[in-house]
Amino acid sequence: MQSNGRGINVRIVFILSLLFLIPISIFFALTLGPADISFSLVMETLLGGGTNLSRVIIFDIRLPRVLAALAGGIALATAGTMAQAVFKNPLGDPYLLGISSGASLGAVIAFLFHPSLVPILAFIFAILIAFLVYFLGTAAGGTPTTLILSGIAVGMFINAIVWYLILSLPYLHGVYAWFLGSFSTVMWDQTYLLFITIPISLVSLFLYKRFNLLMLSDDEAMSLGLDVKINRAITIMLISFLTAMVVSIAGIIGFVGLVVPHICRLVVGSNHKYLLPTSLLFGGIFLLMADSLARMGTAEIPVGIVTAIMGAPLFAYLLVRSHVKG
Amino acid sequence: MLKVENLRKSYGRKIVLNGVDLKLDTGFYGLIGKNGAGKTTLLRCILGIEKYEGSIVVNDRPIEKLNRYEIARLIGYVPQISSQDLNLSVREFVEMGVYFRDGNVEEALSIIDVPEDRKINTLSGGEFQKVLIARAMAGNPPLLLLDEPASHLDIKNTGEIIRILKRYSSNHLVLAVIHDLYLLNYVDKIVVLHNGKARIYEAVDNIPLMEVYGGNLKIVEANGMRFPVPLV
Repeated sequence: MQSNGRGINVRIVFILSLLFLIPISIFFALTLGPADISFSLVMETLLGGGTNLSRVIIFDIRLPRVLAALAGGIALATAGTMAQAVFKNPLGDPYLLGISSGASLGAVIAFLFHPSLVPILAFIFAILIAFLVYFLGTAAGGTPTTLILSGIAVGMFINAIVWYLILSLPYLHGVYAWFLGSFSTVMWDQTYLLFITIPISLVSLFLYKRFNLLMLSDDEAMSLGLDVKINRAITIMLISFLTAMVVSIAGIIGFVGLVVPHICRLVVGSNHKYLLPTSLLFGGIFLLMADSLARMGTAEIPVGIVTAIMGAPLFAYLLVRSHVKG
Repeated sequence: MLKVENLRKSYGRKIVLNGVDLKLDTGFYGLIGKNGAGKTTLLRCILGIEKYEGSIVVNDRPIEKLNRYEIARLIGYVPQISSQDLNLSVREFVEMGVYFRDGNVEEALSIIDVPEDRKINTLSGGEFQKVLIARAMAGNPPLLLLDEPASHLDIKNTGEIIRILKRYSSNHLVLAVIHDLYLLNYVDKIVVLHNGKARIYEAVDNIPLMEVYGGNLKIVEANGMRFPVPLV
């Protein structure tokens, strides 16, 4: 009983630390950028003072980008946590499962017609690809490895189509940087759109019992009262929605949904009652920090490249470990 | 309590259950049959996981008309294989048993001797099996189904599990698939699945074991118990 209490304390301390880190990361990210604005001037501007220029830079350029990265990280980490439960797979990640690629194909097709269609087509294609990967992976044996392999195969195929479209149609050349994952062009309108994902992520916190049962075999979950088919379908739709919204605004950002839940699981365990809120908070901080890193060099690099550099080695480690465990 | 009538189940052309009739009341029942006889299929049909022809009624309620919540309240299930690689404590794992049904986690934890704060991915096979049984019992279901609950366990854990099940069966129906035939000494009655049909026996000596299993064997007696052993 005593150590159970200690377990709860570790979880509470972790959640409180993450809550504390969010404003600090936001403040830190607001100080970064080509225009040299000191810490004190950022603070002054946030408190209502500052110069005209500092107010424009902080409120109109940096803040929408910073909040978009935060919301995007929350959405991707929540989607990854849910994907790992519903695919019964520690390697579950919207990017590795091809869902991000599906969303990007929908987005690119929408660009050809009208930009306002981007979120809708991204969502529709994300769902289609999520179910395709699920059924392919299940038909191939339904093991964690076959699911991920089918996700990677489908994802690569779709990426090839997207690349072809981007490179062959002059109209789409402008979306090149978007495809690699970037918040560099995000303005308030897009940030507001991304905020729609936050209530969805918060709703998922209340569904933790369902995600816990989805981690078990289907027979077990059903015997404990869960309608597995309906809950799996709803979860895949939620994952697709969250992913599609981020892809619509900021392109493909991989590995956030893999790295974040995995680290949180080491601290708070597999119980989604604690895993979801910590992943959600840590995901926001993680992507905000990755975006800050992307901006710190002499030339800005797409944040998708930063998250890939951080996430791919962990993915390789998890893949080898899952193979060893059989 | 459990009434099965003319239950039929086939996979493609392969007929597995060919008109199973069963009527079981409170007590501890062992379910035996050779590999592929349909023991797991029968449990899955009773759980409403498999589609079937015929009728299955638990506590006067037809399974095919119930949703998952209602079935979970009536039937507890201990699968043959479960996911043990989760980073969850014993308490968190047993709590899953009452997510969607009423129950008593404290009581379920008290019947097993595994500390509630241990992580399930650190448990031995025997300890994990007891935790699975506690999770199934947490909802206090009138019918408890178990798929080979004592396979691959050492003698101490096997004994503890039998003791837990016997106690539960004093006022519930426990139906357990049994692989090691010596365990039939501990059950009240034996359900034999053979050629797609079921028959109930009071004691192991009356069962045509050689016909059921298709091999040569004899029954050795010691201390009033019977041990079917293969003749090699």
